[in-house]
Amino acid sequence: MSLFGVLNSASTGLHAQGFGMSVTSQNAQNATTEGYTRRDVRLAPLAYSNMGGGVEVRGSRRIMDSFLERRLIGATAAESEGTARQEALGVLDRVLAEMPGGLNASLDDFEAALISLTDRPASAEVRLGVLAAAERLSTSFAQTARELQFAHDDIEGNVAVEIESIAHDLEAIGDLGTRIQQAEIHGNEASDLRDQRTQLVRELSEKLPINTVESDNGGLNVLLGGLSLVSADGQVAKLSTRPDPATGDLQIVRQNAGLDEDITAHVDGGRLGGLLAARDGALADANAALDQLAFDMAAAYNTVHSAGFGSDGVGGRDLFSTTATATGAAAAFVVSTDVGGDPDRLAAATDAALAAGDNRNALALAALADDKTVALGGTESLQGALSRMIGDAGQSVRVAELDAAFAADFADQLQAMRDSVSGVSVDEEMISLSKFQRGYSASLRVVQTADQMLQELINLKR
Amino acid sequence: MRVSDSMITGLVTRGVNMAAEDQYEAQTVATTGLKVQKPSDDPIAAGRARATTSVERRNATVATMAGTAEGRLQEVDSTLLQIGEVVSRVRELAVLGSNDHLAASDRVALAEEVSQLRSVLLSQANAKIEGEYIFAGLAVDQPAFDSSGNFIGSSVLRDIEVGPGLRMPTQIDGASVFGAGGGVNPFTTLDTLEAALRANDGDAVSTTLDDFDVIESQVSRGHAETGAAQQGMRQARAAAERIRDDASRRRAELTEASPVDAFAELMRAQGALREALAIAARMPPPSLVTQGGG
Amino acid sequence: MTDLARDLADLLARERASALRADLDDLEQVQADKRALFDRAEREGGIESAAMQRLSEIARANVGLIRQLVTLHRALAGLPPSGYGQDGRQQIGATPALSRRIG
Repeated sequence: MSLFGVLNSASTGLHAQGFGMSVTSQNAQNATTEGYTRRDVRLAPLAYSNMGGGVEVRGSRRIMDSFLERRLIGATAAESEGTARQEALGVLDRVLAEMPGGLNASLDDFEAALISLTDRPASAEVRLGVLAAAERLSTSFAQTARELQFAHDDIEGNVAVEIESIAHDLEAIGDLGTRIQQAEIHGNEASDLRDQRTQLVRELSEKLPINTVESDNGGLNVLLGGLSLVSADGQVAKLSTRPDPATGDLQIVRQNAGLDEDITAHVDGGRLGGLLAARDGALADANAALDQLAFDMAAAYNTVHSAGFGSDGVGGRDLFSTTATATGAAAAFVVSTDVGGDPDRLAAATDAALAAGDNRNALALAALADDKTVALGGTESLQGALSRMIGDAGQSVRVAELDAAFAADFADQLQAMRDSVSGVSVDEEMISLSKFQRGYSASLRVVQTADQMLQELINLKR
Repeated sequence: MRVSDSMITGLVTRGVNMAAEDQYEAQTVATTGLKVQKPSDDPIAAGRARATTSVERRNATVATMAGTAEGRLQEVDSTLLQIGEVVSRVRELAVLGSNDHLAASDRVALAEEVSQLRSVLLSQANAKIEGEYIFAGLAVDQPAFDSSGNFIGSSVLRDIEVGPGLRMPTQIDGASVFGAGGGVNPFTTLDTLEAALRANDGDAVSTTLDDFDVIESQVSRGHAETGAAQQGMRQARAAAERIRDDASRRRAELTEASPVDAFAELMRAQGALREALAIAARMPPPSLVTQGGG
Repeated sequence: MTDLARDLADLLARERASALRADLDDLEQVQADKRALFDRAEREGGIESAAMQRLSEIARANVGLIRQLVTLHRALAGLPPSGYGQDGRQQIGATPALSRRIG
C-alpha cells in the first residue's frame, strides 16, 4: 500500500463514524441499569505490511469476572431457596402459636373439663362442658389439618407456576445464545445480548440451582446438577410436572429421549428447591406429627373410656373416632357417635351400679394428661408430644429464616464485589470522557504541526 | 476495591431494609409484650412454654376444684353438727325418760318427740348437697339410709386427684357415723327408746343411755374426718396454686419481654432506621454528572 | 548519509514510535525538536535530495498515523465526525470546551 494510501485510510479498523454513541457515554447512561456490565475500549495493534503497526479500536468488551458471576449465581439460588422455604413454612408458626381457639388451648380446655368431671361426675352442666370441650378439640384438629393441607396445595400451585416460568426462561436463554453466536460470527458486537442473557441466567438461578459453562463461540450450557437444560448449540430441555404415583405430590420431570425423567432430587436450591424442601420436609413432618398425636389421643382416651360406664350404666363406648391408622387421623378426628351429643354417655364410672356418682373412670381419663406412655411410641405424654411438635416446627422455620438471611448476606457481598468489577462509576466514566477530549485536541494540534513540518521538510531539499 | 454507583445504591437500600425490619420487630415486641409470639421466635422456649401453660392450666383447675370440694365438706360438717344436736336432744329425752317418777303419759309425750327427731335424723342422714346424697358414698343418686335406718349407700368414697398420683377424699364415711363397722346405729337406738317410752319401761329407757356415748363419739369421729378432709383440700388448693403460679412465672420468663428492655430496643431500632433513611435521602452521591449539569 | 539526515531519520523514527503508542506529549516534543533541526538544516544548507526522498516518505506516513490518532480520539470523545462544509472545505469537528469539572 502506498504512503498516500495509508494517509487516506483514516478510519482503519475503527468504523469511527459509524461507532455512534461512544463507549464511555454508554457506560455513563447505564450507570444504574440492573445487570449492565461496564464496557471498556479494546485497543489492538494494527499490522501493516511495510510501515509497522498502527492502533485500532477493536470495539468494546464487557468488564466482568466470570468467577464472581458463577458464585453470585450460586448465592442467589441459596438465598431464594431459604426465602421460599421460610415463606412456605410460615403456616407452622400460625397454627402452632398459643392463641385462643388454637389446638394448644383446646387441648388444655379438654383436660381441664375432665378434671372438673372427676369432682362432679353427676352434674349435667359439667358433663355438657366435657362434651363441648371434646367437640372443640375435634374442630381444632380438623382446622389445623386443613391449614396444613392448604399450605401444601399452595406449594403445589406455586411449583406449577415456577416450572412454567422456568420453561420460558430456558427458551429465551437458548434463543439469545443463537443470536449471540450469529452476531459474533459476523464480527459484530453482542454486548447487549450478552448482558440480557446474564440477567436471565441470574433470574433463572433464583428459581433453580443452575450452573453455566460458556462455549468458545458464544453459546451457553445451562446445567442442573449434571443435567443439561440448555446446550451451547441452543437445544432446550422440556421441563414439566407430574404427580408422584405413590403420594400424589408433584414431581419435576425432564423429557429425555422421549421419556419423562424424574429430576426432583436435583432441584435442591432456588425458589423451586425451597418450595419442595418445605413441602417434603418440615410440612410433611408437621402433618405426620399432627396425625400421630390425634391418633394416639383417640387410642388412649378410647381405651380408658370404653372400660368405663356412662351414667346410664352402659359401657364399651368410644369417646373419639378417627382413621384406623395414623395417616389422616387429624382431619378425621371427631367425637364418637357412641357418645353422640348425650352427656349421660360419658363414661365417668368404673362400676355400672354406681354410675351416678362414680368418678373413678373420670379420674383415669384425667390422669391420661400426665401419662408419659401414650404418645411418641410410648415415650411421651400427649402434651409432651405437642410440645415436641411445636419445638420441631418452630426450629424448621427458624432454620429457614437463618439460612435465608445468611445466604442473603453472602449474596450481598458477592453482589458488591461484582458491582465493584462490572458496575459503572459515573465519575470514572466522566474522567475517561474528558481524557479522550483532551487527547483529541492534543492530537489535532500535533497533526496540524506535523503537516506544516512536512511542507517545510520538502523545502529543505538541496 | 472500586466503588461503583450500583454498589452504593445496593448498600444504602440494604441498610434501609434491615433497619426497617428491625424496627418492625421491636415495635411488635413492645406492643404485645411478648418476645416469643410464635414458635420460630424461639423454638425451645416455645416448646417449654407449651408445657408450662398446660401445667399452669391444670393446676388452676385443680385449685378451683379443691376449693369447691372444701366448701362442700364444710356443709357436710354443718350437717354433722345438726346431727349432733339431734342426738344430744334425744339423749336428754332418754335421760328424762329414765326418771322413775315420770308418768306414763309423760313418757308418751317424750316418745312423740323422739319419733319426730327420728324423722329429722333420717332426713339429715339422707342430706343432699348439690343434688348428691352426702353420706351415700359413690351412690349419690339414692338415699344413704332406708326408712329402717339401714345403710344402703356405697362404702366406696369419692376421691379427687390433687397432684400426679395423689388422691384425697371429698366424702366422709357416712355409714360409720351411723354405726357401721361394729358401732351403734342411732336409728335402732331411737326405735328402741321410742318403744320403751311408749311401753312406759323406765329400765328399758335407761339401757339406751350407754348407746349415746358411742353415737356421740361416732359423730365426733365424723367431724374429725371431715375436718381432716377439709384440711387436705386446703393444702391441695395451696399446693396447686403454688404450682400454677410457678408455671405462670416460668412461662412469663420464657415468652414475655421486659417492658424496659422492649422500650429501649424500640428506641434504638427507630434511631437506626432514621439514620438509614437520612443516608438514603442523600442518594445519589454527589457526582460529576449532577454537579456539572449532565 | 550526513549527520543531519541521520538525526532527522532518528527523529522521524521516534515520531512514528510515539504515534503508535498514542504518546501525545512526546509527539508535541518531537515537533519542537523538528523545528530546531530544520533551523540547523537551513544554516547548514539543507539535506541532500536522495536522503530527502526517503525521509519525506517517512514523514508523510507519520502524519497519516497522527491523523488516525485524531480520528480515534474524536470517536472516543463522542464528537461528531468531520465532514465538508458549505464552502466545500473539509471541516474538522471543533474541540468542545470541557463542560464538566473534575473532582
